[in-house]
Amino acid sequence: MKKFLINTAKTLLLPVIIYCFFLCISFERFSNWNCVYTIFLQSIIPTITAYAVAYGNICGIFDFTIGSRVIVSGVVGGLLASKYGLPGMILGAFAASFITAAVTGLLNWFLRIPSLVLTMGLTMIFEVVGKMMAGRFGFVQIDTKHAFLGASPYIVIIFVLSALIFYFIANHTKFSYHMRAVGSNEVVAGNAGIMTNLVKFKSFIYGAIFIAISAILTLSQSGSVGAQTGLGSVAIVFKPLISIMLAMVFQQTCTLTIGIFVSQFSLNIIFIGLIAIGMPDTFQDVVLGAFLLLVMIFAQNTERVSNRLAARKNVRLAARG
Amino acid sequence: MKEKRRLRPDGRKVQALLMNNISFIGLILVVVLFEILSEGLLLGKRNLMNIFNNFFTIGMISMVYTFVLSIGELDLSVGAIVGFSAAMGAFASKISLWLILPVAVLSGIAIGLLNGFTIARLRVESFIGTLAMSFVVRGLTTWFLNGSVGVPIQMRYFDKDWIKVTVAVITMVILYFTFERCSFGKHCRAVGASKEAARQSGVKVESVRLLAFTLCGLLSGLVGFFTLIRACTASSNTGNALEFDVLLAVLFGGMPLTGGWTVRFRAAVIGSLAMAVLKSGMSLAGIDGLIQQVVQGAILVIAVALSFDRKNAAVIK
Amino acid sequence: MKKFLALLLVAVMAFGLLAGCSNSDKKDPDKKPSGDAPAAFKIGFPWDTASTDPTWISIHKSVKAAVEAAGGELITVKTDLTADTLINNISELISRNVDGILFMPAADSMLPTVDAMCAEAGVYWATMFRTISDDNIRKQVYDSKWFAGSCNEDDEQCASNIVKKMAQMGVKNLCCINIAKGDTSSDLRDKGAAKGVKEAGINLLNTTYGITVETDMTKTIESYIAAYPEMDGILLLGTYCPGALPTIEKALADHGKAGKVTVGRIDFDATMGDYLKDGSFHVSYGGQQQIDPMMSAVILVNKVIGTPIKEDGPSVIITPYLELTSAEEAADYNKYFLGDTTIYNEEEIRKLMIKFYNKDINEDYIYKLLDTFSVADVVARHSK
Repeated sequence: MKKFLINTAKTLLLPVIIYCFFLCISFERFSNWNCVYTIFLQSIIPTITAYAVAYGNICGIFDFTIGSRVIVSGVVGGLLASKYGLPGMILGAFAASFITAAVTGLLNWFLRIPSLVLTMGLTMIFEVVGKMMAGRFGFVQIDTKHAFLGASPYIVIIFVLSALIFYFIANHTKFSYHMRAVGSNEVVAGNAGIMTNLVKFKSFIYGAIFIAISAILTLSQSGSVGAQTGLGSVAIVFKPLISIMLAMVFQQTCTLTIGIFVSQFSLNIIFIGLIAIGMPDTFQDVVLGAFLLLVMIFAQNTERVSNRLAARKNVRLAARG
Repeated sequence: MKEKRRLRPDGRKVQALLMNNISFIGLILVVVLFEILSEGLLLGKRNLMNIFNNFFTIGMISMVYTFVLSIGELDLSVGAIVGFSAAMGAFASKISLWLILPVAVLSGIAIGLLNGFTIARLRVESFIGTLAMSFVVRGLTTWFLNGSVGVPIQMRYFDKDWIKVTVAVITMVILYFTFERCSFGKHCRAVGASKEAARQSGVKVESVRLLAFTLCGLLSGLVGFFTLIRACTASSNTGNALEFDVLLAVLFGGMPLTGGWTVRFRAAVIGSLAMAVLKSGMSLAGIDGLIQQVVQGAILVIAVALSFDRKNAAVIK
Repeated sequence: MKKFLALLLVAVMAFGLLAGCSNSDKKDPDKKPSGDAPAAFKIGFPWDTASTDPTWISIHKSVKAAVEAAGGELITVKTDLTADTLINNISELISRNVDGILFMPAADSMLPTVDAMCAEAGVYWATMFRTISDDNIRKQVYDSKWFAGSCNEDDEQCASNIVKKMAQMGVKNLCCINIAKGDTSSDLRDKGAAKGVKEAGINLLNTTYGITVETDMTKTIESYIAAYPEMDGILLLGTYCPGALPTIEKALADHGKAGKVTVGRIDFDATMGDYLKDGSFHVSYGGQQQIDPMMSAVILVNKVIGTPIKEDGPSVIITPYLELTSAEEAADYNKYFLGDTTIYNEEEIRKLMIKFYNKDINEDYIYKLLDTFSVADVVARHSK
């Protein structure tokens, strides 16, 4: 437990440092609790979307469909909410999420083509499905009385539950071991008796839980979900994907569940920070990209650099000795 | 009985031949279908140049993308590089019109080099590295442009059909020979097949990877130049989502994503051509925008499902 | 096999080329109107045909109505409205032998290129929604005999006016959301907002661009609330996000700011009514989304059929923005502007806008017509 706390504290250093940076630049705007709480709330939906991406990502699957599946689930949830209220919204979102996940997973299993190709093609189709269902306005709006799940404290409770489910599936099930085995070496995993295609199919289905939750929260928080076309939904995946990449870097000090959230939280501090100091929003992309590059470079090279330094030290010591 | 035995291998041969050329057959089918649907307009004299213009941007980058794919990597920053090069070219036009081309190409090379260095030397995964780079470059382009910047109309002289056809043919010939005949092309495929084996065979793996991305940057810069002079405008939208079009094109052509020796140069050309014909054909046939997207998505999945070489792929991811 | 396939492809293309050549029909540049109806003509229109947004559909309907009222055919091609794609669209439309092209320009700097292409092909062209800000380009385009004209609103003035209106409503610290840097309208609205802010003596805290997804809209509004507690006004200068207004209102309501922060927007949308009713939305300038494209199409059609609205030079018409402040007006707007019929039906277009049928039409006539145009006017004409 002590180790866990120390490691978590180490991971939390990143957002703390970034926050302090912006606090120094703009103390007036950053020195209030509301600011931290807003950043926290804003990090929830992208974190849950990242949980949906994570299982496939661990299996080594590229999944472009996530954004379009969130939209389809949100649209179906929204449409059913107008007829059956909150239960309609929840059931609709989950049903649509599982159906689209099953279609993607089964096609991935039986067509046996690269997931990047399949998911790109399916994204184009799912986007149109979402657009058709969204009707003439191109978006679905829900009654505010059904939208309370998007507000605090419900959103926080749902987030904690989602994180627990994600943590449990990713760490304490047979699937979690199989998933990592498939991700690290599919041939070896297959030879060891793991049904690799089934594992990949499961990664789509388990991911669908978080897609549905993300769709419900999006619908509840924004009050509406709009359809996208022309692969516009792919952009929804990029930022959660970045948080997964960052979380992979932190994996030595904390679990993926916390790592993803901490990464998303850090990215959102940058987002609000740049707005607060009056930087043009175009600058956000520059900072986001540069930040990601720097972290990835740091993560990929720390070990190499320390090994080289150690080797040099040994050479020096040997020369002295 | 003997006859049956003789027939079987022939049947397989035909099947293999068909499978091997499925993208080509697909292209012919697309051409025939839309030629009929558009009542002869698709291959009309003027529309052929429209198809070529659609092909030019995607095809030029797809051809060089072959090198990146053959080393088993992806480049998601090509659209951003095209936009950035066009913007830099537009700024250069304020000093001298002669600077537009070199500045655009050099900008492309610079970003390509940076991509290559990050991926080959600093070992960042290409998917995430080029994605991050696209964020940075796209943001910088929008920031620098602060709107849009135009170039003088006389630059349209270089948008002449014969110039672009010549450039496309020369590029195709050079890239084809580099990929199929020169050691660099072979090294790229060797690296894609197995980095370690290539290294053991004396291939400078990191240099090959760096060069592949730089080459991709160079061609993206050149496309940036032609995009700029076609519209005489560089804006934050220039080259938007081009990376997806290029990916779609190479996948249409049946390009494997695993890299290595199965990568074929013709896949990029056929795929880009098929995309250009498909787009033009659907537009001429008056197909609604949403249906166009569904058709594109479905054809992509079906084409790859038919042409994908499952036997030679140990793992499909 | 490969050689055979290659030969087959070449054969098909050669056949198509011959077929295409034989199909090409020559245009008569000195076409003069005669008889009871204008000669058949085709107008090309690059538009986002994948959009299901009622406003975007109504724009297409308005253009179609204007073209068909004069007996023409509208050829629509799919576009993403970027400069590069529009140039390809125009090239495609020229190859389809259209007589005129109407489009919404992505930037001023693309217009000389369009003019060169259209002049080469002998095709008239017109623009909608966007003005030409660059003096040199404007002069060059207005001097062209192939430029029929344009109809647009004064984006800069409109933005300035709505900011000042919001200032009158008590706004002191304003945050804005706009389409995208580089978009002509977006840039002009930025300029107008800056002017309005200066003249009204209020603060412009921040402007965010290019939001297309609801979650990003929520995030931006929440960030504004967190970073600028002093913010008392949000102005939507423009956006392509489908559910922009409901999303903004929801974010404000969740933070207890609904009704306390003054919200305004340029461009009417279908969701304004409810928020105007409950007092959480305050002012909108728009209504041009339907009249602008219709007038632009009318200008082009008149030129193409040989009865130009203005004999010498292009017709450039500036439409006024309508102001919408009540739920009833919003309901009427939804019914009569975004409904099944267009703001002027084909018969009205023929009678009031096509010079072939009404010789009295000139720019003054059109301006007088525009003076009478309002939500109430459309309701009066079409509710019978």
